[in-house]
Amino acid sequence: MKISWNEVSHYFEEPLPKPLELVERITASFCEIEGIENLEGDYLLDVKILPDRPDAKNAAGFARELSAIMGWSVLSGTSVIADATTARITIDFIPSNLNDILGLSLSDAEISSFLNRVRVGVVGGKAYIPSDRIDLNLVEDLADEVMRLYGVERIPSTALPSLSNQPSSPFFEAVEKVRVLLASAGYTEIYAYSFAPEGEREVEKSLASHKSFLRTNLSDNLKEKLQWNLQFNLFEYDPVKLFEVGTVFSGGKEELHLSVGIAYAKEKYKKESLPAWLGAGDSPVYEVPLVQLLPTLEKIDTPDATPYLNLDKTFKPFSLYPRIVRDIALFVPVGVTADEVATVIRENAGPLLVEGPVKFDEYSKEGEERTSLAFRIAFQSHKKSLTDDEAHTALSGIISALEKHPSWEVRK
Amino acid sequence: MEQYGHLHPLSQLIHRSWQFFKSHGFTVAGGPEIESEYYNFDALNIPADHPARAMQDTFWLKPLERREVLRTHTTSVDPRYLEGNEPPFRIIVPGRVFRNEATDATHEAQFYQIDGLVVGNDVHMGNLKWLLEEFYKHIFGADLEFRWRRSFFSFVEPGVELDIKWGGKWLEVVGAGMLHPTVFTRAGRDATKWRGLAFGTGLDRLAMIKYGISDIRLLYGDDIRFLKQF
Repeated sequence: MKISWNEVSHYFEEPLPKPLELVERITASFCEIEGIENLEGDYLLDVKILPDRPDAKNAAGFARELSAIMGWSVLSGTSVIADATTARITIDFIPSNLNDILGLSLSDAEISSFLNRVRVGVVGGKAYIPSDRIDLNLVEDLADEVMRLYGVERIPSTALPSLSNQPSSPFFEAVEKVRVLLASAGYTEIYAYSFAPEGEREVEKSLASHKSFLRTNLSDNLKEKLQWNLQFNLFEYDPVKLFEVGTVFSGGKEELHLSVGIAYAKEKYKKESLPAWLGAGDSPVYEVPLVQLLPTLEKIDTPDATPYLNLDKTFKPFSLYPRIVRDIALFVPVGVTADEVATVIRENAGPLLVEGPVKFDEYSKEGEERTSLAFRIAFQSHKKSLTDDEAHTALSGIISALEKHPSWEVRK
Repeated sequence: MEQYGHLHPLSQLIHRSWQFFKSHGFTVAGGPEIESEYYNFDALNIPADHPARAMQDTFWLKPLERREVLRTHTTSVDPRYLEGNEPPFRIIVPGRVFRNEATDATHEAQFYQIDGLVVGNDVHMGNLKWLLEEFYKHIFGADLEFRWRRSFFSFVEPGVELDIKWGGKWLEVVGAGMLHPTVFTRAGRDATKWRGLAFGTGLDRLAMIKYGISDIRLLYGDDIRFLKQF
């Protein structure tokens, strides 16, 4: 709905400030202002009023609201307080009701004055509601009127009284425990989509044909994502380890499931199975209704969640172009640490370094004065697919920095 | 390789929220993701002709005669809990919710909310303000700035909204209010005896603000390049 500022100002004797100066106050107390258009000598306000307020949907109504919020007087006849004869309805109330709801201690006179500003007449224990205020029907509605005129901002924040009993949420806490147990065993949590190409329960007007049903299990997706994520490992022999806790819709009911899986790029790399407490045996993917795990979980100590709560991290966008992986091997004198070498690599790798250096080998022959070290790094660009030449240039920078140390010998 | 795994950012946020609410006497309540039209809308005083009920906003399940939806908010658990539990009580409801809308960087068809409900005979708007200010300070830091606005939601009266200042901008983070008497009455509780503080906050949005995540779809992409950052 559009409101002309010039038309609104006709209802005031004093000139109005520019609408921009009042936006915050109007938004905090009355309606949303979705735009202000500056037209030759006027402003057009695009306003959205909730709940529905037929009384405020024109310039006179808007002016009445503005006068109520700001406490400014309008031309006589514009804002007439309702009484027993003109009221649409009467609400019985005592002023302390409103204070109790809002956590305020306004006097009866202050409350009457606020209600009068929105044309609600107050006599004794009765509030007379103007005929066009269809939204005012309950004591709570009166509290809303007083609150918005007084200002939500000004209501003092008051501590909730403390409770004597210590609450517990056994099922929720068991689910939290499973999550932390799996994270501490090296598993990373996924939150997949509830929608699936097939299932038992189908939605109307689905977003896409492959999203028409609700999933019946977590494992189909988990297996797929285990395989897909293998490509992002830095070492081919490392596994991908994932889990999900989520609702599935199967057998005529919905149920919270846990699915856990581990995948290796090749059978020969396999060295680990799912955690024994799951009871999954040698199976690489296991799914179970969470309630079935409760007896097992009771027997396990609750691990500390702190290492897995990293709310101060900032997300770094990752490149969708392929990366180039390189290894650096060198001999250093005994006493030079892998950390020292890694620092030199990191500081001289340039902006294309995205992963590593990760040390994957450290070896000293008995009686020798030197240590053999090997690191893996990956280069990647946010803008394009790197060429071998570009990776080579970046690598050369690292190698020449390493070779500046006379006793370090890079193996080529 | 890495010895440790990673909790999903939304799990981390839920856990951190739980630490706060638990210390203030809350328990966690849950409810179904396939919800009846009654609990998702009617019990919450949402009018029969409200646009949110329409098929372009809400996922209705087949067959339509069963009047079942994918819950559009975890607020649907409030009337269920109110029916089944004698007040006073304090609950939070973390959970997955659904809206039938096209997805883009800031919109998903599924996302997470934490709803909260405090029912007592002496709770008031001042308590609600305190609770939510303390909660967002717990998540975003003690020197957070707030801006309160009056707002409107069918299941509360009066209703308010809270903005926080983050990165120099005001961001709307939660809708809240005093539970509407009709919600008490429909749940079979005496609205003259009890008052309720209700609030609902979108967790994906909080995670995006807190972690600087640019695209909501990353949260549901199952990609270790994303997940291992947290």
